[in-house]
Amino acid sequence: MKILFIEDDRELVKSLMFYFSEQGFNCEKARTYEEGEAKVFNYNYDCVILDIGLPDGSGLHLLQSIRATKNDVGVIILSANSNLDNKIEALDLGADDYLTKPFHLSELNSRIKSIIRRKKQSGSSSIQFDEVDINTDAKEVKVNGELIHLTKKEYDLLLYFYYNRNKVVTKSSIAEHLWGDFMDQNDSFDSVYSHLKNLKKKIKDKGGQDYIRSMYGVGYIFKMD
Amino acid sequence: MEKDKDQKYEELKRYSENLSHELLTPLAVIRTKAELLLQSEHLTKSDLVHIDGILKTVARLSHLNKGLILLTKIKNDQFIDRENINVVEVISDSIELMEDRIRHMDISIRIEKDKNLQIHSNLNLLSILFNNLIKNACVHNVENGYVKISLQEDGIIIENSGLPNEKNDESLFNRFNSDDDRLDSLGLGLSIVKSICDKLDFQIKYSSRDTIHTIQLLLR
Repeated sequence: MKILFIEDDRELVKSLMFYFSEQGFNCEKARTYEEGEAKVFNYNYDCVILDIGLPDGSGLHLLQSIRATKNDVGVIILSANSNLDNKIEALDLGADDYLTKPFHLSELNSRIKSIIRRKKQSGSSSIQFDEVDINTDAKEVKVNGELIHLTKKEYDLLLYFYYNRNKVVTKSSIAEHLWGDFMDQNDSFDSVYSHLKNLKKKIKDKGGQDYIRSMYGVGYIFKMD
Repeated sequence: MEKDKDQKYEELKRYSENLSHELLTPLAVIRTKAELLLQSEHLTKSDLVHIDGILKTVARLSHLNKGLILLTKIKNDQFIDRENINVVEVISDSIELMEDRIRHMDISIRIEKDKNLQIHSNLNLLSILFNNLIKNACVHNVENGYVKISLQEDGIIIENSGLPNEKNDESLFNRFNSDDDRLDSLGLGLSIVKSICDKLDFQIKYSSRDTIHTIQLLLR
């Protein structure tokens, strides 16, 4: 899987390159509009992460020119502006997703993986590991062949963990994933815990493994071999 | 002289608006670096606690910053569309955001009187307003408590049970005025409420008697 980061902040690009290379992606970077444009049109990427505020032009403009010829590449817009109009504009111009800074790495990771899954998908809408089978069309989960009834939040949580498996996922990233950024940390942490407890129980009741471990109050890790 | 002052004020205003946006990328850098550290394999328990401290502080800063950006937008009239809005629908959405806490604390919610109340207003501002008010009514509540919302032609009253409040006055609506032990939660929320009320021409009053807290919104 090949991804391209078009982002001018040197340190942010370093973080992204490091994290996503470790996730097994083949990562490349561009720090200007011009460099980004050259790379997008000369090579093939599965997903492009595109910052709006580039030093020599607008990421939205680049998005437009990408969509004029390339429809298969996934594009996620990164923005330093949580303006709703901006988001609608980006999606209208053909972005697959839109994320506001400061984002969580695990959130970006789950968005990238879900876009690549959607684009690559040829008929199969199922994620399988060990005794678990997730049907992403029907939003149904089976453990050892038996259906378990998850609430929407529990389902979202399971998928989020799956995309971020074997990585530490912080409580605040989970809270933001489930409730958006309206909730602040003190208000949402009890809720994260109770949804998690229910999810664990439902998997265990059908003879599933205990995948989720707590990391000293900082977050959780979904352990898979 | 007068003009000079106006111009300086405008410059200052623009500067602080830009500053809030300029902070978002550095915040993203700090957050991603801390999250990278968190993935390292040989962390001790105290390493984790320190990293958690960084992450929590970034979250607080980012929350504050978002609040300031929103306040600026409200003051700059960036929410101007007006439409007819069914108040109960907006309030129901706000209640849904708090459903976990409501269940957790076993709070009962009642909506009374004119459930068809319509007002001509800005939907974005009205949702933010009720999100904040309903959230406060739920967060500063007690186990088995209640929130009562009463809708009338001339105003909306939100009443909730809670702990007694010593400071029963308008200072509640000043920026950064917050109970010390809940520094993250109040503060900006109520000053956002206040500036939305100013924009929409609502009068807002807070009062409390023993354990009962009341917010009164007068529609003018």
